[in-house]
Amino acid sequence: MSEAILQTSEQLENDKYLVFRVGTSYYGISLSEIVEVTEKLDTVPTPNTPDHVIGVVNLRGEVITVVDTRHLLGQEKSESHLNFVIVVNTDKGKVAALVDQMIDVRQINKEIIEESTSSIQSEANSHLLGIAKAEDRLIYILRFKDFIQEALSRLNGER
Amino acid sequence: MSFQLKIITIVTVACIICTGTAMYIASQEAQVEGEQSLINKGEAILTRLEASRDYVANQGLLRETIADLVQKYPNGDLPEEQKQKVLNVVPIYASLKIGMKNARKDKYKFRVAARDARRKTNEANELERSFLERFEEDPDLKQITYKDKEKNAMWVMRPVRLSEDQGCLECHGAPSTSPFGNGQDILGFKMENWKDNKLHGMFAVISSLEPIQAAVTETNVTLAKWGGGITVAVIAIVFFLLKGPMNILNNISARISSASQRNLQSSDSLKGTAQSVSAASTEQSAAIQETMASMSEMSSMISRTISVAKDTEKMATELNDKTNQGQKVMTGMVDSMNSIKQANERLNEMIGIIKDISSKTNVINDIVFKTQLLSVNASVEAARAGNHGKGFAVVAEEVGNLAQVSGQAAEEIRDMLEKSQRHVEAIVTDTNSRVEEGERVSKDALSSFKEISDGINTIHSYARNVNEATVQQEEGISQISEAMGQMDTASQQNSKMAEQVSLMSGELHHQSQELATLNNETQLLVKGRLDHGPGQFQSPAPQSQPQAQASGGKVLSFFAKGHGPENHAGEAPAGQAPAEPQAPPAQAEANQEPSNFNGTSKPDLSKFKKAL
Repeated sequence: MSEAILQTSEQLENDKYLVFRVGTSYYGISLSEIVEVTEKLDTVPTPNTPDHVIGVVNLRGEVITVVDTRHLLGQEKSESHLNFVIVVNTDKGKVAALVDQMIDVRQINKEIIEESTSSIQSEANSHLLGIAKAEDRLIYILRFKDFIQEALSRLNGER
Repeated sequence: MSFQLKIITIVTVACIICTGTAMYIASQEAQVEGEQSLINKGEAILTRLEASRDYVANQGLLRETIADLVQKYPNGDLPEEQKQKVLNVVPIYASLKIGMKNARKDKYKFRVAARDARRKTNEANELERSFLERFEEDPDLKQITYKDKEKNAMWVMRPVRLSEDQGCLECHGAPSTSPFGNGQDILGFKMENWKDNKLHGMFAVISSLEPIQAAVTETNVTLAKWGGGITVAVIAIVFFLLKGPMNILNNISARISSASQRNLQSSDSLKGTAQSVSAASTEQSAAIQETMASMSEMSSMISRTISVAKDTEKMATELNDKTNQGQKVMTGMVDSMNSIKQANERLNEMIGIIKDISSKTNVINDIVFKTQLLSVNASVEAARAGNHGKGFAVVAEEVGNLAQVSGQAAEEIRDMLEKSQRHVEAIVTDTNSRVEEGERVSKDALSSFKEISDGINTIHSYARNVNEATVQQEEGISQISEAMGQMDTASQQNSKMAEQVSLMSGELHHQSQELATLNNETQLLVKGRLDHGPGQFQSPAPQSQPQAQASGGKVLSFFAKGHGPENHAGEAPAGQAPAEPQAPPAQAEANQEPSNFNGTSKPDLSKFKKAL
């Protein structure tokens, strides 16, 4: 992190990512996509919704939809592990995405992000910018807002 | 040949001999009697002849006739009838005629023999001449009897001598007295000029012995018949009389045989027993000696025991004091344990405090977590602010880092606390268990000390008892040593007696063998053979002697055990009477051994008594 602090301000703007864990994989999303980060809140379940929509929460007087990233990212379903909420702004308003664990906020240079190969086929594939090779692990860099939005629109389209 | 058979044989032989003797004597007597009767008969005949001769002579007719005839025929030429007339009055002729007459009827032969006989038939043969010579030599010999074995006849002979009285010399006298003066007698024979009493010839009556022999044979046949019958009867009687006694005798003999066999066995077993007794007594002696040695050892042991028991008593007293001290120490230790227990409770309280501190670190962690979230949100806000928020972003990041560091520190603190809590807990549990163990151990130790104390008291009393017991033991040992002395003498007597028994058994053996021999002889006598049953001695004499010797040798060699080779030399010579020559060495051995005992055991005893 101390290295990151020493980076030039231009670089910092583009390269700051929030790293979190869902299941066994690590993901990085740009700070610009995030509204805020909180602890898990009391969720009210909503009927007749797909499996990845858990319900709604009241975040400081605002009711927002809660989605299960484990389900969306094809991980094993387990609500007890989902302890953090990342709030993002979509076209359809704010959405709270439940993740397992916050890791940190770090600088990731564009150079270490490798373009995603077509060999990785998944739900999130279209929104995968690349894979960053950090010193300790591999981090999937996602366009998180588009990923969530598409998931929600797919829900609406189905309706 | 059995006894019965022998007796029967003897009886038979006796009967036969008696019969034979009777026959012999009877035949002899008959013979003699017959012969005598023949002689008597002959004598009677001859006496009659002599009588008739005398009778004729006494008639005196011869001279008268001669005188008549001389007158009638002076020339001496006499007719035959006149000659016969003369002959008829010659006494000897008369007797001759009488003898001839009826000779066959009376079963005898009459013979007239003479030398230079006027009739040639009357000329004596050689045998008759010998008789005539005898008559000639002895004028007093009146008669000769002769048994002619050749012709089996009895001769009775009497001499015929010339007698003047009977007118013999009328014809045989001097020729000068010739009636016709021509030297011839009246019948024309030349006169021989014989003197009175001259032996003219002899008359012989010859009787055959055959009838006598036939009578003798008849007598013999009768006697043989009777004798044979009697013999058979006697044999039968003897057989039946002997049958019962013989059976009894056989039975007795068999019983004697088995008895002697048993006797032999008993004597052998007696000998064996005597030997074992002797061996046993030797062993006993050795055992007694060993016991003596053991007793002296025991005595010294007892004196040691006494001193040890006294030491034990002293030690027990000392130990009792020490135990009492130990008990006190243990009581103190129990108290100390209790204080440790209390200290442990304080440690438990400390664990509570540590837990509290640990829970406080959770608060710190919570704060750190929240701070981290805030720092992320600050970063987000700073990113949204763009270039304006760059400095703030750095601050947010630093805050996040600090939160993380403090979170790590809190985490470390918590780890340390947990560790120390665990340690303390372990210490407490450990201490607790140890204290409990200590308590238990000290309680046990205390009770052990009590038990030890009791035990020591018991030991004390025991030691006293041991003391008393050893004193009694000493008395007992002295009594035992006396008893041992008695046993020693007894064993000596035993060995002597065993030796005597052994000798006696040898004697018994010898005697029973002799008995067996006697019995065999009896059996041989009674049955005429030996039963080859058990206990029979085929040749007892050569067997029994070496056996007896060997047994004697055994006894001797037994007594000579471990006493050099000279004793073995004593048993070697053969052909000696087994008991007597060997008895002295055996006795010498027997005497030697007890003396050995005395030599060794008595000092032992004295030593032993001294030790007491």
